[in-house]
Amino acid sequence: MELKLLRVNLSKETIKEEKVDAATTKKFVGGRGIGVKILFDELKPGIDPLSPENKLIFMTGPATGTAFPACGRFHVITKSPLTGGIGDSNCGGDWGPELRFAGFDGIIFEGKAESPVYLWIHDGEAELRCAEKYWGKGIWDTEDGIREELSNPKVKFAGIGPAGENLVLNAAIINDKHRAAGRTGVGAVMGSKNLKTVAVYGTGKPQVADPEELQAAVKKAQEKLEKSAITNESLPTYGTAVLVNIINESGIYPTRNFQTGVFPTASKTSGEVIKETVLVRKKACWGCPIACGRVSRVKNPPYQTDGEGPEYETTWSLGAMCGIDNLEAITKAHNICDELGIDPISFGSTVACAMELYEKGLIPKEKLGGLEPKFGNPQAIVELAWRTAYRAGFGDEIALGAKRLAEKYGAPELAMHVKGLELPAYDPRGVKGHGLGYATSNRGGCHLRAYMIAPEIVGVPEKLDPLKTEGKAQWVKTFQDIFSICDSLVVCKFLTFALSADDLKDLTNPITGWNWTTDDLLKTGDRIYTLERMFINREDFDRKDDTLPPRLLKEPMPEGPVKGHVADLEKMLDEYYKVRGWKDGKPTKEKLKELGLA
Amino acid sequence: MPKLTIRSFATLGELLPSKNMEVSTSATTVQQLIDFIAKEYNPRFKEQIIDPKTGKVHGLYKIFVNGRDIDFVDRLETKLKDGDNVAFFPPVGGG
Ligand code: SF4
Repeated sequence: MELKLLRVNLSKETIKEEKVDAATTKKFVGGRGIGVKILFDELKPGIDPLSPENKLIFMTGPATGTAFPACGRFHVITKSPLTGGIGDSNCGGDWGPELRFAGFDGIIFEGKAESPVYLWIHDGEAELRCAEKYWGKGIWDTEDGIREELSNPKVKFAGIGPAGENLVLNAAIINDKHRAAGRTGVGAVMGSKNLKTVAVYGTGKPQVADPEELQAAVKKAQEKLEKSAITNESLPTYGTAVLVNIINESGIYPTRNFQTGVFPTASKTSGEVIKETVLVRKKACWGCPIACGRVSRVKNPPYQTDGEGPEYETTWSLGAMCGIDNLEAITKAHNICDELGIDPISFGSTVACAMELYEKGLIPKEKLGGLEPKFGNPQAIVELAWRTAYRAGFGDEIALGAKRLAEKYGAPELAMHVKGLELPAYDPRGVKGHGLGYATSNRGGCHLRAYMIAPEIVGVPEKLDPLKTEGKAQWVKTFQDIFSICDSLVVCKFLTFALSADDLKDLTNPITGWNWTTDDLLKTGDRIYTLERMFINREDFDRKDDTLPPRLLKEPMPEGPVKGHVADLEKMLDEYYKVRGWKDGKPTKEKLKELGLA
Repeated sequence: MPKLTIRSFATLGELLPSKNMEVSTSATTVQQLIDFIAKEYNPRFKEQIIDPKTGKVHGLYKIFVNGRDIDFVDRLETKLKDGDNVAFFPPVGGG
């Protein structure tokens, strides 16, 4: 299996087709794997992520747009302006499959357009078009406007809003109006290239090696997805925010900038309450039988809004993290992030950091333009979302992300980040393996490189004691390797609540014709993860960066079920490097040889 | 009699008069509390949580006593005392 890519040089206004050969595809699969391979081979270390030298890669994978369940996804890969390391984000919706229907597996953008442009891809053709009249507009108006311009209501989009244009470091790329490739500031890279959006439309169909065998594997997978109460009941009924209560009851729901893990009114923002209040209907990404998405509406002022979400992460980042339990304000802020193109996790975490700085008297009042960023103030989160996207007033400082903001005000320890990326919605003081996952994540503070919440809280694929550290290193590595494969195929990680690595292998082989064993699948994941590590090693990340914020390592949890606990990292980290074949955060020569990376 | 707080979530919350209840009961273990709830409020609550064949908690259902999963304490024999907070969850996942 080969992949067909477009290489678009925005400076020279050239568009070329190129192939990823069969051997490279087998080694790195597609999606995140091929993206990091291209970035590693083509990017000079030390370049400015917002300069024309950076590349912005949109990738689908062999599974995208096929019968593989939950395959309506794509991956964006670049050098992150927020972290200076690997920048990447995965996203659902319809855009990924549409790109394959249009005849391409991925796009590499390089250089910088002289003035705003968009790329229009349709059934094997691609052209750059003027986007000047859309520059400054929100995501939703841009999509509607270009659809009209192209006289095609079926076009799909992945693009930026004002946040990306204004190089906000936590800017997202938004597709299909409400799905966000949110993390690591990929939207700012798109903005730095004067690229507003990528419009795609296609009528083709991705080829698979053995359609009959694929049908049989899909049938088996679907039976498992239907049998799982998580993928068949809790996710479709309550959405991802069904987690709010169990995480809060476990005492690991980060509250007021991780000052505690218990938010007494968390249930007011839970999936159950969303279902009873703002939910209009559930929604699925392309080809997904699970349908965890929410279409939502707040009917009345002051937070009237129509849109989607909130998800578990946004319910938290715009909620408990800022001490806010007003679901209507959270839903409104979520929609502003979608419309203007902001990553709500990094944005909410940066606001929480600002709130703590403010309450500690470290941000002078005159900086704030009349805003009162106190924990629990719902107006502040809504107002700051606008101001951040347009870099207006204090929004200009939220646009820096938590690390730079806290450093600016002399309290770097108040930024809850790893490697510059703000942490998501689980306090690792009470889920030890998950903390190791955060610390060793190549892209920084992230729950989607290794989701140890599955075994440590949910009990999938088996239940592990969240307060123990023994054996967790191997678990984290295995999760990281399997998720590298999910992001490279490209399919939704929620499948793994019901499907094993074996099942993923059985679904992949009939598409690719590879005859993978499960060990081949895991080794390929290991290779992708290790190549990412080589990329960040080159940018000076190593063991010193595989860590957690000092608050989580040193300040015992003040209350609740995990009172007194801190994140225990060092011992697990030694074990982790051992199982990875790394030394001090860097792969050894032997390991690189074993993986075919030397 | 000892007082306990019972919180039940998602689909389980719909089986009891309230998702958040305070009960006075002589139950001193989680097993006894589940029997008490089945008798006083709704037998389906117990049927959902306990597998009749094994007598154990159904896969992926979870019971927390004061935030700690009983699987890491004494399972259904986990002791209860006055003021304890017992939470019941059906299978949930997200991310
Ligand atoms: S499970 Fe949810 S996020 Fe994943 S593909 Fe389906 S709808 Fe999209």
